[in-house]
Amino acid sequence: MTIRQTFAIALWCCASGLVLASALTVAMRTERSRHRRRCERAITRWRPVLLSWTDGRKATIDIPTRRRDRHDLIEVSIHLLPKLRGADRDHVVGALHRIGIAETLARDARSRRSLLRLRAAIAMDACASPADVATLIELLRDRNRQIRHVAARALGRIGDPAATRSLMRGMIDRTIATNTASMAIVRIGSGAIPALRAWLGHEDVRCRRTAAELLGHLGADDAESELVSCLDDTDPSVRLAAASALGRLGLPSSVEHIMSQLRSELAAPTFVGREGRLAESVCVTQAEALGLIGDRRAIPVLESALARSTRISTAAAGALQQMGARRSSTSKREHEVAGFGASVTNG
Amino acid sequence: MSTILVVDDDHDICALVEFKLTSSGHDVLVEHDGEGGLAALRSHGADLVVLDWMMPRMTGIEVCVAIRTDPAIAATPIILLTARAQEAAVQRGFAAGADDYLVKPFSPRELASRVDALLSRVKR
Repeated sequence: MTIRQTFAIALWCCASGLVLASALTVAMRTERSRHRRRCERAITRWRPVLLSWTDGRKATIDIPTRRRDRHDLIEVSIHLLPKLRGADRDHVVGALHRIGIAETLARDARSRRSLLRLRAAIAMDACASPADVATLIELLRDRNRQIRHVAARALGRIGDPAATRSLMRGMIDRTIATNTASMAIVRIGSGAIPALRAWLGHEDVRCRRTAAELLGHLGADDAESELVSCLDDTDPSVRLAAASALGRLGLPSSVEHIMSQLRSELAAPTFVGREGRLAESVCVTQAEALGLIGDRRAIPVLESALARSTRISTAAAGALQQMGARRSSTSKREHEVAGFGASVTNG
Repeated sequence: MSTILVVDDDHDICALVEFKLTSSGHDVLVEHDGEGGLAALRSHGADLVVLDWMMPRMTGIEVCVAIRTDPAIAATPIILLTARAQEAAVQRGFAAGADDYLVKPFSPRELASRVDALLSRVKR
């Protein structure tokens, strides 16, 4: 092959590549503008309908039977519903259910196309309807991570306690990110407490630890005895989470247990290595918990902690200071009350 | 019947507010950015402004301050409708001159009630 022929072939390849790239760009632009026009048409058609439903009027339009129309309606709802709150939102969700959108979403959630499943999950998140809980729990096991994430978020928004176990299981299997599942459970609120209390006795360390953390966040006073039992768990991260939760609960009845546990943790000669650092963190959290509870019975043990490592002594000093602040604020309050009493008597 | 100016770059929010306020018997003007909103208020006038915070070209806070410093429109009541729910943001909104503050996601009927309450207070 001559140099001339090689040059001609190379030139032809470049030219055909350029033509192909241009054709692809044009095709993409056309598709994008077609999609934009379709979205605009969908908004023009369905937004007024959704707005009219906010008034609580019955769904007076013809029920969209075409698959495409139903999907357009879902798409517009996905954008509108998260901006709404209160009765207006409830009316729209109710109307969507009356025209059978829930069935469409449930069908889409079982589709083989991940895009359809994702859109169904997003729509269910936007609707936050208790009717979708079973489907969303199924979606927590989806092979697509994003879909699992949206399903967990939607379950938190709906707030059905029935989802707690599935969320915790997803967290243990590592199929749902701990943060996402934790946030969802916190949003479920007090309804999640019975399931979390049961998980404190679970064999999996992460499960016990997360359950303890969440019980603290949820202010589960009823779980005090189980959390106290977790103070001498074999795993330091569970002991730490339990102490932190008890500190958040702020129950004076748990002070003796935290104090005795802090004493035994402080008995360790040094805090070196990974285990040592973890034990040190447990001491720090226990001292902080005692400071949060603010019971003066803890002063001797906190004073003994002042002699230990910098982290522990700093936490203990902070806790003692908190108690001092509480003491001074109490005395200030007493002073104010006394002053008020005196002024009333004098007046 | 009163004229309400709605300034928000989110078309869904504008449509929602317009629908609800029109249903309550008000005339509604819509603008999608701060500068346009301020210009519309100066040229057409309005009895009340529903204002978003984060908008292109001019933020809601800037519009608020501009309204309060212009004697011709300074008395116009303003409701800030924003996603910023933090205490400091609410303080900043009121400090800029807002008369009321509503956090998104919002209830359109609550907004309509606040608009009516504010308008009746101004008329008194």
